[in-house]
Amino acid sequence: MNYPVELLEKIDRYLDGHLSEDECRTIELRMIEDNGFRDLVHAMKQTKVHIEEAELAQLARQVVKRLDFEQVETDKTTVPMRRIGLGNRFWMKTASIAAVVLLVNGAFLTLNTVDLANADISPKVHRLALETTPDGLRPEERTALNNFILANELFVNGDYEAAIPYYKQTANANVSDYLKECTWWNLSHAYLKLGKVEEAKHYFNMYNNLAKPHFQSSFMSQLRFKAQLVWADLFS
Amino acid sequence: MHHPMTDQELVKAIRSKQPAEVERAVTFLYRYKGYVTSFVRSDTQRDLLLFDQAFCDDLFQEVIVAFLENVWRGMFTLQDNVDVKTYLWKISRLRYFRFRESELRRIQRDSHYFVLTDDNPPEADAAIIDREQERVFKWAMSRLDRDGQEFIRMYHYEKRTHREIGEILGISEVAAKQRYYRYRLQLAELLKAYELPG
Repeated sequence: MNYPVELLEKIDRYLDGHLSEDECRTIELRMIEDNGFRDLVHAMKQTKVHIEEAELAQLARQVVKRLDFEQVETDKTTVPMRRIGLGNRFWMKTASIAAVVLLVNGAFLTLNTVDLANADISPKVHRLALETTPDGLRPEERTALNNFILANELFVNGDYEAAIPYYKQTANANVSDYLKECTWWNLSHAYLKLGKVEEAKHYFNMYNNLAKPHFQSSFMSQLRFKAQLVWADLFS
Repeated sequence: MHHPMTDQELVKAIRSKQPAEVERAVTFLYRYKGYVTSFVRSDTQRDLLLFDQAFCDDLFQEVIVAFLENVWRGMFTLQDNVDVKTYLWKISRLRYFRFRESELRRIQRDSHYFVLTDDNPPEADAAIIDREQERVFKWAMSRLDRDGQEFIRMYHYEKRTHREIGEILGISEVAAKQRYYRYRLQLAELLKAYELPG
C-alpha cells in the first residue's frame, strides 16, 4: 500500500514525541479505528527502534574496542607482575625484606666514617724492616712519623688537601712497611674525601694487594671503604 | 577514573538511549571484562580451541551488545538476587558454551582424537538472547538494495537531512523523502517476518 510521505513524516514526528497533544490524540484514535494504520505505525516504530539500537550497539562495540586498545597500551608500559598466589606473596615479602636490609647496610657502609690508620709510635713496630737503634727511631723515621701525625691531625680537622703532601712525604721516606701501609691507607681515604676516586683506588689497591699487611685494618673498615668507593664512582 | 555507577544508574543510562549515556555505561561495564570472560582462561581445552585474547575481546563485545539489547527490550529487570555483573557473566557463559560446543563438533568432524565433553550450558537466560536482534537487523538491512542501505545509512547514521541527501544524489528533497520512506517500509516488512518486539 502506498502512503503519502506527509503521513509517514507525521508518524515519525509522533514517534519522536514532536507532535502536539491534539495531533497525538488524532493519530491514536485512528490507530484504534484503522488496523492497517495501526500496523503501519507499529512497523515505523519497529524500524526506528532497530536502526537506533543498531547504531548504539555499534557505538558500544567501538567503546569496548577502544578500551581494549587502551588496556593493551597500558600493559605495554607496565612491568608485568603475576598476581595472586601464596608463592608470589612469599617472594614479594622476602624481596621487600632483602631490599630494606640492603638499603640499611648500604646506608651504614656509605655514611659511616672509616677508621683512620694511626701509626704506632712505639719504635718496636718500626724496627721490623729497618735497622734502627734499639732505643729509638732514626731522625728520618722520626720526621716521617711526625709528618704522618701532622697529616692525621689535618685530616681529622677536614683539611684533606693539606694532609696529602705530608702523607706523601711519609710514604716516600725510608720508613717501615707498617708506616708505609698506614700512609697508603690514609692517603686513599684523603683522596676519596676530595672526590678523587682514581687516586683513592690507586692507594687503596697498593694496600689491599698486600698478601700479609703489617697494618691490619678491620674487615668492616675495608668493606665500608669499598662501598664508599663504589658509591663515589657512581656519581663521579 | 570513572565515577562508579550503581546497577540502577547503569540500566537507566542504557534505557535513555542517549549515545553519551550509553558510552558511559559501556565504559563502566568494561571493568567486568576479566570476570565475565574468566572461564575462557580456565578452560583446559582453550589452546585446542584457539580461544586467545582476541576471542575474549570478541566475546565480551557480544556480551555487552546482548546486554544492551536485553535492557532495551525490557528483558532484563533489576532484581534483588541478580546484579548486572552476574547477569553479564551468565550471558557470556551461555554464549561461550554454545560456541565452544560448535567448535568441538567441528574439530570432532576433522579428527577422531577429540571427544566432546559433558559441559551443560546453563538453561537460564537462554530464551533471552536467542533472538539475536542485531544479527536479524543486519540480515534485514542486507536484503535492501544498495540504494536502500545508502539511504538508511545517510539519514540515520550520518544524520543527514532529506535535503542534503537529495543534493548528494542529485534529486529533489521530496524525491529523497519518498525514496527514504519506501526503503524504510521495506525494512519494516523484512523485520516483521521475525516478529521482533518493537
